Amino acid sequence: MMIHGPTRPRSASALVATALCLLARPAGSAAQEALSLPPIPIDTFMLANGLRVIVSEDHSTPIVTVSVWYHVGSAHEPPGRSGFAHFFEHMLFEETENLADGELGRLITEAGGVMNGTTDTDRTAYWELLPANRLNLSLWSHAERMERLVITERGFGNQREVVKEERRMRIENQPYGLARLALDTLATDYPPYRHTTIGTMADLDDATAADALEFYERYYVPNNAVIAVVGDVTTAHVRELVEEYFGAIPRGPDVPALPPPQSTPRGDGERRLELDDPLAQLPIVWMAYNVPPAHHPDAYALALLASIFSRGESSRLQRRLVQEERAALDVFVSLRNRLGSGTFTFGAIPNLGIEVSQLEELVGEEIAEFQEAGLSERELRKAKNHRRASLVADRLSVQSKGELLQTARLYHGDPFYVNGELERFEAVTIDDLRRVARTYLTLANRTVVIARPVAPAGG
Amino acid sequence: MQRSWCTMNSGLAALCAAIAALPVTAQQGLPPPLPMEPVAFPDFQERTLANGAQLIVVTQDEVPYVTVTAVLRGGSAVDPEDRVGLADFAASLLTKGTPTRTVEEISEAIDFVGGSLRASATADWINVSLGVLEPDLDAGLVLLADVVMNPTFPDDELELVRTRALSGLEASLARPAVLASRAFTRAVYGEHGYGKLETEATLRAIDRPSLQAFHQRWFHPGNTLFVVAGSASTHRVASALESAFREWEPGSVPEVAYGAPPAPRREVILVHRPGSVQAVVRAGHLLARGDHPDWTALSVADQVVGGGITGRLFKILREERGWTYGAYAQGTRRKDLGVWQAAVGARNEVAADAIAELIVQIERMRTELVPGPELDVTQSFLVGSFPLAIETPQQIANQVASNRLLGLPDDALVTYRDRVTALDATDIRRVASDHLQPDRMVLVVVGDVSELQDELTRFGPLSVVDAEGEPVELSTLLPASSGERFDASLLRPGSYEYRVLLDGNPVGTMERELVSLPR
Repeated sequence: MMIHGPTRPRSASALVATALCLLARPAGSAAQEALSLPPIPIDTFMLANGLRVIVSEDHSTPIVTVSVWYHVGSAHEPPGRSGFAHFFEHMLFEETENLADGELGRLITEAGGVMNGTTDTDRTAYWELLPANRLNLSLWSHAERMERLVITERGFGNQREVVKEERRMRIENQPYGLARLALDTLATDYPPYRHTTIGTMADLDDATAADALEFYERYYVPNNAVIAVVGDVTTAHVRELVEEYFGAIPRGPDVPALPPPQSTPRGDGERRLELDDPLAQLPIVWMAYNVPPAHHPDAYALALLASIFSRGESSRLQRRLVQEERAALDVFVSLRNRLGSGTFTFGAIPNLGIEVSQLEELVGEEIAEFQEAGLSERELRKAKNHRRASLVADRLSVQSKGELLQTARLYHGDPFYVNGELERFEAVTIDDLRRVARTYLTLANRTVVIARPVAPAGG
Repeated sequence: MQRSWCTMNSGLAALCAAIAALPVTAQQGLPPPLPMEPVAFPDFQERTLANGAQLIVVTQDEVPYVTVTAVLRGGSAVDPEDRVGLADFAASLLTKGTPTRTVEEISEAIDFVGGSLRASATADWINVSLGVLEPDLDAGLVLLADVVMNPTFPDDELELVRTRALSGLEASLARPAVLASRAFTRAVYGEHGYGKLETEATLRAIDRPSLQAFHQRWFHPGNTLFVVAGSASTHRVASALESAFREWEPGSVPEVAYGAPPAPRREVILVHRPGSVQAVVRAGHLLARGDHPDWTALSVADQVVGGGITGRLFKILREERGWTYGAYAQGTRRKDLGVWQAAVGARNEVAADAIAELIVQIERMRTELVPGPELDVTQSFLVGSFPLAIETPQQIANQVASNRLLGLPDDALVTYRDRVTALDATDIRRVASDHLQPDRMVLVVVGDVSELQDELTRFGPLSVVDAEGEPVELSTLLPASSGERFDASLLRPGSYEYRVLLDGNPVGTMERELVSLPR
């Protein structure tokens, strides 16, 4: 049965109500603008072997987070080894010379801590969150993993199966999973991003323990790692422990740099892929645009643009596609910042009975409208207020502060960059927003992927 | 079937677990814990407002951000049978119009200050949450008060919520975790209030009068707990709430009647999802009410068998076997009957073995003592991770509120760590034996019937259902096969005699030597 939801033209009464609302309210929140954002305290130091350390003291709760980011990810994988960086991440939870299989997890758990790791195109991250008096355990175990990893055929073979199961769970057994992978690789020309981080089953099967050893020796070296420690610690104590545990680890050869970022936007025309998704009940459409790498100044205007399109029920796309047209079950816009190239992505799922092509048209209309007419000072203020609130909320937990510092170091080479974020958002102008929308949100720079259920929704 | 040698019999298993739990080596260079001051449960304030509402405040002023949540008794457990989804719709529609504010005005006002104003329904509660920077607190509370006290449930907005809910239901049925959760909930709770599931029919039946009646019944100050966390003092919060909600009329609230769940029994439910490359398993049964004194010991037992990376299920099913990305088990504590549930996703070929292992591990909890070192790690985690749970004022306020809402003693938060520490292996075996019932577990598996059906029948009576929970007639899914398998060891020499026909008329016979399968 097909179920048809109501569709209606743009509601005149809704527009009037909005206009009245705008008139009735002041153009800014003076109280909020007076709110200062205290800087995150930051200390940094570097060991002779090239290991960089970032410390932020926060004595409000007796906990600490320790993260180590290795500046290696799926972008560094050689041909035929897609998924290897992530596969290798799993190996860092196995054995070291002084930690038998399973001991690392037991020690961190016994200490009252939690731990995990994540892999992306540009970096592989490992973190613990634990009571502050186990700072030494965390740093010691990270040093074990950096210098004294033990790679066994048994552990390697076991984690291969675990990773393949992860791929089934996250991708192959989920609606839109394979379509999402297709979007990620189709939307960029930057060679290191042309394969997926999760990798293919065939490449995972081909990987060997010898590959793992080579990868470890090449990339898991102190000069390719950054440690961030945030919490109830002192910089002096962190330095003492880091020198004790990491000081003797030899510097590795320089890690080869990724190819330089490509110029954006692409101008070679729209790319389009429509595929059947046997696991989906409703279709989905993504429209992805190439944008510059993370360190480019346009990243701020693009982040604000994403808010203007989809953050909150009063945002342009929520109001138009969800509220007025009643066409979308959901619509979302995201900016993905990366070292080699970024992506600005619109995504939408239609309500029952709505054609996915209608959503594509509506998003296209809203983009064109923005490029033509721009926005008001008030709408810009709203987007900036949202950023301000997000920056404040990011300071609530040591974990999120650690992530901010590591991200700033990775993309900008400087953790202190985090303390200028509010000012950089505040400096964005109406003209900047209109310019980035016109520059990047073009047909020639667009990749559209549509996934459709195989049978009509509702049977 | 593959089994680890550990699980062949209980005596051997106990030995195996004891060996596994021993420290393997004295780690060279492993640093001992540094000294740490004892950590007390942080301060919080409780008040009763003039209108009868309760208030919990946790003040920490490091970050100028405040959250205010109004928690009202009455969630999906009180939905009428034919209008399941009513509490959910009521929550969604609170922010969609009041006599003085349109939906656009409400969303514009909260979005403009970068804040959030959201409402949602759980089984027992409606939560209406405001999150704003501290300078916007007063303006935010005015909005919160308006949507809680005066929602108009406009017809137009109701239809939009319905359209999205119907589409959302359809979309969610593509996700294996949703299918598993619905089938499991239906099977264990049945007619109990926690067993209510939204369907197309119940969502279509919700109308404006039922929403207004819902609001009239449950939205009263005496039925409300305000939970405030962040950089605002109790005094400031209390007076702002008094002012914003001063016109809220008191009213009486009915008792919640939950209804009776079905008797626990072993049952296997296979939710057919064509094309699944993995079997998503949920196994479990109901547990005691939220105020039962055994919950502390149960949480320790859960941690041993299925808590995180040191849980037995994770260690065996993932680290030893490589069958799954994750395997966990835990009890969920609720106002009324809780639920114990293990979750694992495994590729089809090993799904049945994973379930068998899961059952063995639960049985071990009931019959064996947890070895000392393993219990030490577990207790050490539950006690030692306490500082992680009090980092933000929101975390603290949530703990205080949960304690209140579950009806637990005032000192439960303060004594928790001592109560965990006091437990020994006998206590853990006793609660596991009393509360965990592997023989009466419901086993839900979401996957492709052609890959799984044969293996699952060994666990108990099997029913195959579709995404909506309707029984599936197997003959419609599977082409009839004989079950014949080629087996070379069964080949025997023999001979066949053929009758030779010409235009249908027998003209003679011929014989050939063959190897063939015996019939």
